[in-house]
Amino acid sequence: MAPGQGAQTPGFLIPWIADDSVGAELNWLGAVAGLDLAHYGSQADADTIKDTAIAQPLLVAAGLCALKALFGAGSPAAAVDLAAGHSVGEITAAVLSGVLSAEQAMVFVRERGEQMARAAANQPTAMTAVVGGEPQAVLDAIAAAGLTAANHNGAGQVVAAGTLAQLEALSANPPARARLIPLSVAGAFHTEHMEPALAKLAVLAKAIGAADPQTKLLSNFDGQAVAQGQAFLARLVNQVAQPVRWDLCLQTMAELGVTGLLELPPAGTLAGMAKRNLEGVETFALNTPDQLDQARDFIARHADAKSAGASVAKAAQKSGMPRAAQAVLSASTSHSGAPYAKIISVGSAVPSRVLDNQYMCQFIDSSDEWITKRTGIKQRRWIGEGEDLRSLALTAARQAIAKSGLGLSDIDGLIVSTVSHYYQTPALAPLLAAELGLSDAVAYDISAACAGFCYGIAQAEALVRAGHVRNIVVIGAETLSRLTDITDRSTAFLFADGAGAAVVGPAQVNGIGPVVWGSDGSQYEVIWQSADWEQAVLAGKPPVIGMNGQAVFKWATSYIAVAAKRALEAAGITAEELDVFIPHQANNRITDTMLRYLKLPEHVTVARSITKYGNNSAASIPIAMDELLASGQAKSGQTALIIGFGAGLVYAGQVVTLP
Amino acid sequence: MATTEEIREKLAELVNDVVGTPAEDVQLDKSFVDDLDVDSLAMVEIIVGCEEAFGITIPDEESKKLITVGDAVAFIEANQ
Repeated sequence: MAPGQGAQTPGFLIPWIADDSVGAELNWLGAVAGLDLAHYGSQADADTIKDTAIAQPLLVAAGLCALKALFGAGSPAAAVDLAAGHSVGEITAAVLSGVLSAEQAMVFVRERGEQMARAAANQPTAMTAVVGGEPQAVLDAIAAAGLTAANHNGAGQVVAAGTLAQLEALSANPPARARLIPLSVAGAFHTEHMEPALAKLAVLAKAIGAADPQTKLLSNFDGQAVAQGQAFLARLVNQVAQPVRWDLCLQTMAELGVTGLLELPPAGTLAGMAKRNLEGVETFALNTPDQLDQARDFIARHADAKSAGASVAKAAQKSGMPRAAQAVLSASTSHSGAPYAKIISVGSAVPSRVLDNQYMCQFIDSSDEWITKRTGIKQRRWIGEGEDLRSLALTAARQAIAKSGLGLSDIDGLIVSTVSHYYQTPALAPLLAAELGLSDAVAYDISAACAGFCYGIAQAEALVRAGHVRNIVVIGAETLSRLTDITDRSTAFLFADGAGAAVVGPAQVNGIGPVVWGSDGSQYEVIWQSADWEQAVLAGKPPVIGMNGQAVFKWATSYIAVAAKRALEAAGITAEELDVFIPHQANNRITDTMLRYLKLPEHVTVARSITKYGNNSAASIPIAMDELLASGQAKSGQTALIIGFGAGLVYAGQVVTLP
Repeated sequence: MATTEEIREKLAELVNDVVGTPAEDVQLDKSFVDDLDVDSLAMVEIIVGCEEAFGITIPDEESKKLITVGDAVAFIEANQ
């Protein structure tokens, strides 16, 4: 185990430097890092070595010197069964397991320290350990103060990080029976405050040729062993702004049946935590060179205790034999995942052409009063000169991207939900991605009609958390006016055009609740396309969309209302806690009936944008969300229930935190 | 088993909930559309409400035949 920042004390390397070969090694590592590490490890005072830019290289170099002293030219990875580091200690562990060379590690840690120090200088932030208390109450209090639980150290120790004001809020409202201990670190490490540090590190990481680990190497992200060197490196970068899950590392050690744990210098913190968390595990804190013989004995004794299977595997590896008959796929992709996802921003666009009910009644036998009473629609927007599906989608997406504050290079995915794209293939998404300047982005369309936006949000949430994308745009865009029979008195007044977009990205606090979704293909005929494209070509006119309005109404007000309630329950939100309700804008009467069923309190803001815009299918929810936020009827950080339902029949709903 | 009067009362409550017509106006001889201000969508809501309240299923083709409150009460009574 390699310890993290905070473990260093003035002069802790003095006994090591006394040995000429260790001193030479330290000077070499210092030369690589461009820092006089021998000075910082022996002469410098506590304040000097508290500086992140110095502390980080110093800690890694101390661990590497001890490894060299322990194993000489031999491979540490061949001698031990498992390696793990806490925070910056992960870099030491990467060298131990053979992923990085000592020199690669020193260059990387110097940059890591510098970038983190710079990010920490942006605004005054700090960290406080919270010891004791009931675990959930501690996490709740940390979240309530707006802080991030940046380290989960196990055995009732969590480190909260954030701005000084947030930390004051925590000390004003501390969790019951817990003690708060301010830490002497210079910033809110492992939180979103560190995000500015990521870009430079990511660029550097690309140039490092990392080898695959030669022994089990655990990651702070989830406590799991990572099999690929490059994947571990990608995690090392992202980990700067991600909480340290040392508790999960300890859990994995327990599951693997670890019997002995040795901590590299400056040792004590991790050995102590291990003692408190892992019963029956022997620990060894290596702090001076005179312990080296004992340390070697300790390693040999516990390495002998490892399972027969592991010994065989190690022997096979040494003799160059294949380790296993079956290739094991590595699970990680180009990025490490995020603990949670959230909607970062939203944008929308509607066509400029406004058509009122009077206008529509030229084509259908109806009246303004009838349409208003049955649906709530007073006017709708249809595309006119110079507007099309693409222009609407692009406008909405550009708005959302601009509001997200992200650079184009941070966005690597785009999902478009539409039924209005007239090409079976290629999809609309890659074209939009190219026009938006998203290079090499994952891009595809989904066909889930009026449920499409919520389907897209569900996919985006999963993709971000799995690490398949970093940030992704979800667009709902429709030009239903081109698929409407203007003489059909049940749909002509209903369908409309528009586009909405949301950017979904990683979060430390969950912003997208569990999706409740499904389909009922037995009602495939309830909303229909009048002809398939082949028939339409033969007939010489495009198909139109029609529906059995009463059947849809019945399904929406019974089954979908129940699904909406299930989405609330799945997110653990009561009707009282909800701030905003944004159902797909199909019909105000459906919304009213859902409200009666859900018994939402008066304070809940309800989306009614159908009145102005008609039913624009997949676009209706993001448009309504954007409008409610822009008008101040809804506010950022509020809790909203969104639910879409439509042709298929398909539906999806989830509770989200508004951007 | 609910009696005819209990079914009418429950139905009257549903009509009142959905369209606001006073419950005492909901009598067996009244037409949903002509007398009680119930339109097609409100009728769907009332049907769904009846299905839940009485644990029955009212198929679409049947629901179209329910012109008066008496029609609905008779159907529910026969199928509960």
